[in-house]
Amino acid sequence: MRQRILWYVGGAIALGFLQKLLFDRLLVFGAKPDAMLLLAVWIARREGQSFGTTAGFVIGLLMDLLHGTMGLDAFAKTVSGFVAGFFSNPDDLEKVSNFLIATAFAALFGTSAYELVSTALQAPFFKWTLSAVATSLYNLPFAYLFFEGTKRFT
Amino acid sequence: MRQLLDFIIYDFRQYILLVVFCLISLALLVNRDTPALHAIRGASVELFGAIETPLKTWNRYFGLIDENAALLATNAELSAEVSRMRTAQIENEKLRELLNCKAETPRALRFAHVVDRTFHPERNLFMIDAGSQDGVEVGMAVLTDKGLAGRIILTSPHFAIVQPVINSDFKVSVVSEKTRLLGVVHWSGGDIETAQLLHIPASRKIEVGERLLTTEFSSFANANIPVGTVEQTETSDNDLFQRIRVRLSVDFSTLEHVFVDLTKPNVEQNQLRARYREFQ
Repeated sequence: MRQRILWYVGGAIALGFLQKLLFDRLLVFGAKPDAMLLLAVWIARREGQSFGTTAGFVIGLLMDLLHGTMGLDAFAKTVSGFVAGFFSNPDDLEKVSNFLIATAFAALFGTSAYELVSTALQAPFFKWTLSAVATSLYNLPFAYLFFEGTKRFT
Repeated sequence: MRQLLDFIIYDFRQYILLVVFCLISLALLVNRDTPALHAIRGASVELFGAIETPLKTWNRYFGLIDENAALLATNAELSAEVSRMRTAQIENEKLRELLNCKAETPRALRFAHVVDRTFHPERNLFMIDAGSQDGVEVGMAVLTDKGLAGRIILTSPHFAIVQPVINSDFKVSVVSEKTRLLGVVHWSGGDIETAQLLHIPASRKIEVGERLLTTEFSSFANANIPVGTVEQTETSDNDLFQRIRVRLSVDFSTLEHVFVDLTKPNVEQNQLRARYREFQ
């Protein structure tokens, strides 16, 4: 278990820098590929909801250090990790469809949480809905690539 | 009792964790301006800046052709500007002699590269490779040859974070060059080339194409720095204020170099403002 946690931490740091240096620049309609979200979903499906929620929080904190606003990403990724935990059925671990659905829901709820907190509940409904749906859809192709790339670790 | 506790902790631990982590996150968000969190962020900025700088140098090497073309264009513009400035300087000197005024001391500026940019629909940020060891302090204005780019909001020894004009938390008081109307330039997301000019009464006339300059009473910037030009005005019968679109002076899509105005922020004024905010 300890070795797995070390792998997760190492992966989180590497993906964090990849996110900051590359993915943050691929912004489309307010949505961007979220490598850290994919990692949180991957961990939550594999380890369960409690571990996923914790992993989401830690991953979010890491992103907060890189992005700027302390607490915002931690909040969003905690929600994403928690939501992804509902898809942690061991029988579905090797199903790509399950991973994509988990990613879509985690992105939808995580982005909604992010938008609602970052705008202090002031954002118009359509604005955060658009952002949440766009993020959710935009991440699906990346989720597929991520799943295929990490298949042998599943 | 113990069985009940075990039952709750075992069966509902994911919900307990969710609530606890969300509360911690919100607590961090609310207290993000505390010195401890600033220190942690400063350290992470320093670490990330150290990693980002070599990558930026690599990118800069391959971008030299485009950069050279842009510099040639800027050089041509500046040459024309210098000719105009020389004429204006001669005229200015004559007027100054008449008024017996001393020439103002040029402000100290620190050149810096933009080494990182955080892209966000509303809260863009930049990191520059000048920090507290270079005399950069929180609250200082950041400029380019075109005008105001933003202000420093966080520093580490070798790097600083800039809150640019294209950040929805940024506001700057401006005055229109000809009509001398006072307003506030604010960017609320979307197009990074335009912002809004707020608080101009519907009854007052402001001209399209008029330049907007920083005011004497800005909390961080010196006066008369260009911020943008009025691009479109709109007034409806029911509004007290005009809706004014401003084309920003600085092109943030190609921003790579900036100057930090090393004029120290007026601490007394800022403290007074802070006290007033507390008072409210």
